[in-house]
Amino acid sequence: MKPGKLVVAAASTALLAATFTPALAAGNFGKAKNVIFFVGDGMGVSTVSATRIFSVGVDGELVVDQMPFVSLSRTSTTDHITPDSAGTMTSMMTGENTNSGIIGLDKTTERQDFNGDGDGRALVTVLEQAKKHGMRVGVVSTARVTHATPAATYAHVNDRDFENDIAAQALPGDAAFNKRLRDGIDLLMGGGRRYFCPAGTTDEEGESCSRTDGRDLRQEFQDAGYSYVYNRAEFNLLRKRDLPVLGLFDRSHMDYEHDRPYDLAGEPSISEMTGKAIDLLEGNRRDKQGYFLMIESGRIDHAHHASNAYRAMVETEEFDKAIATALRKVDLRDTLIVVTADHIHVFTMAGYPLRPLHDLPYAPVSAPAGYLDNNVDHSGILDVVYGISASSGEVSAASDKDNVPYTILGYWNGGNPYDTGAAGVYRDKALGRVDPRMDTHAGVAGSQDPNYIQEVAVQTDSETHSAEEVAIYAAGPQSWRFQGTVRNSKIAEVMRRALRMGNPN
Amino acid sequence: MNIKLLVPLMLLVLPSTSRAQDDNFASEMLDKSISVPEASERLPRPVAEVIPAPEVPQPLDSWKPLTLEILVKTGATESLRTVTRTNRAVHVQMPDKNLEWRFARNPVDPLRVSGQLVKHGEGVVLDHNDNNLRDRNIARGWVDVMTIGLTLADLDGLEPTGETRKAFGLEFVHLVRPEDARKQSAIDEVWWHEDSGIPLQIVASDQRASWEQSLVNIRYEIDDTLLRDAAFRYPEYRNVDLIDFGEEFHEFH
Repeated sequence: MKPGKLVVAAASTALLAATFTPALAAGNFGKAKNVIFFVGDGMGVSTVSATRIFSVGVDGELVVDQMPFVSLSRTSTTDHITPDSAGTMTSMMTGENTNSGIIGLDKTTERQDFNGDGDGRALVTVLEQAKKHGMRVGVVSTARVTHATPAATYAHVNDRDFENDIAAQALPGDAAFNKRLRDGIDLLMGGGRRYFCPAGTTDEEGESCSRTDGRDLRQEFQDAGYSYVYNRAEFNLLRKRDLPVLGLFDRSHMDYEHDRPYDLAGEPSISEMTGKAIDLLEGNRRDKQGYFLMIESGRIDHAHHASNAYRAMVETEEFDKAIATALRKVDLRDTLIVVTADHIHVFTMAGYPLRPLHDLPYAPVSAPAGYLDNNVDHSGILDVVYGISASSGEVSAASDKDNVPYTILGYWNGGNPYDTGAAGVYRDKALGRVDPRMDTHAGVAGSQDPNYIQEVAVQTDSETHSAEEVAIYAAGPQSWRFQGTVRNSKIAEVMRRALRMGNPN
Repeated sequence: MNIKLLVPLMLLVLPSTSRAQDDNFASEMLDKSISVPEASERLPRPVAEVIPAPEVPQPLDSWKPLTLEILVKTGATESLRTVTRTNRAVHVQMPDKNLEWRFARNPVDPLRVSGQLVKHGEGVVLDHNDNNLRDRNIARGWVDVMTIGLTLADLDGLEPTGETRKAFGLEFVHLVRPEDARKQSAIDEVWWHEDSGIPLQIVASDQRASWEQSLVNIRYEIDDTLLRDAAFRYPEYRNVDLIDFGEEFHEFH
């Protein structure tokens, strides 16, 4: 190279380095010893925005807001514009997009092989690669551990609903065991006992079991060397020496954070599970083994499906606390943290709601009591839309053409297949708009009640996902690679780069 | 400059540049972004209390097994419901809807209840755990499914008028919501037999509709098969959790 060109090259490199200055922080160009992958199931941008207002106010900052690198992630699966969790998580864990409903198999696989041409390739997941590289691996979810998102880290089936099979694929020594997991997943915690205990029996909390083959996998996991825990008291006692660990804290999905205090046997929160998982998987200071940990907040999605914005926001708030727990425990010079969602929901904030009174830079001429009272709580995000007249300065509730107010939060579709309330078992659902502030359907005390079911535009059995991009938030080694709009498969690529692993797919 | 030359040079220079600058930049960036991984002060949740399952009052546990037929009127629409009730399970048949509900008492905590909604049209048994029933205000616990269309809490806001009516060999007392009382529930009026926990008639209304529920028959015998786990009664049906059904319905059916 001629000297002149060398100078130009050096100058260009310096310029590039200067441009990437943020990426130099916290070892962002380096190798990761550990990767923690957080998935907020259904945690679209509107969910994060609503939760911010709900949790820390309009101008507050969630923990996730403080992650230094952010990207937008496209989520469509190979056969659906709007995806499901199975296809998206497969993409994020393997780097290969596939069809909705498919767990860990490539896009030539149809659900239940409906074309009869056999399944496609079993894609290699980052978790499987981590195991191959001698790392410890953990899977934590507030959904069933056999549900689509956690399953896509360790299983390969052509239908996400085959949860009996998925459970068996995690059991070392079983004929169906996924041998890529070597000696097995080191830590598997969440809900889902129903697919680990035989139908016709009840579990530790008196709820019915579902395994149709009569097996008790709780015992079989223990026979394979696992420590099994089912309640918070036992969870609290877990130590490193107890690895490998199987924790199943509910028959099905774990309780919503709002309902968790009421759980019969007692459940840990997602923050507690995050802290415990890191404590157990992390080796001593000289240990170079490292770990891969996937943590899913599975019930954000479920609350949205139920058109219940309150629980969706409480779940997201708790998820944010779990991310804080991880950030406090790890060293970002050697740990990559990625936070994202698998898809979004048809969840939106409508109208032009006025900020709460204490946030306003001026004093309104007048305001109704509802605005003054309710805006104290959650910055009014659960309330109806209040606006201000530009000419008179008076605050009033915005309303539809029949003068009925509407809430800030709502869904394009959703609703219940039956009316709520004890009487709802016996009678038909009654439709029609009423003032949400006084909507006492099923004894619910208006739109601020935790059980309030948001209004929807189209009545269906359940609210649905949507196809817009989700955000990726990242910190730690290689996190600078999350820039611009990317496909969700980029996440596997970056996690592999951080761990210095190739793409075997 | 030829990009083919620039790229390898960058690869050589960048890592050392990053290492050299790491110490300088890392703490600054951590301070700036996530060295204090705390959110802003969280706002309180003023309405976060969860109502526990209500106690089961005596003599509710000794109520006789029975089968009830009730008529529900919503506007001009009339629907017949057949209710089978014991102190371990309750079954509600809704032939016009092609639905069945089956509620089972929790054997570990007898105050709690779980439910199954059988949707014959879709060939599915939808499991509802105690939280599903509670957060949809269907039932806070076992007591709420024993009292056929109302809850004991609904009765708290009602007052006796002193009137009584005899029917089916039982004497029912008349309870109404006082005119000046704040409406705590949808129930406006009940003819109630406390010892057996049976409403002869319920009149109710909310902002959207009004409806009426009337007892048309009592039999002190039951078809025990109706109370079995619906997943066993309908083995050919898919047995899924309530919350999973909605997602599945939209995506794949």
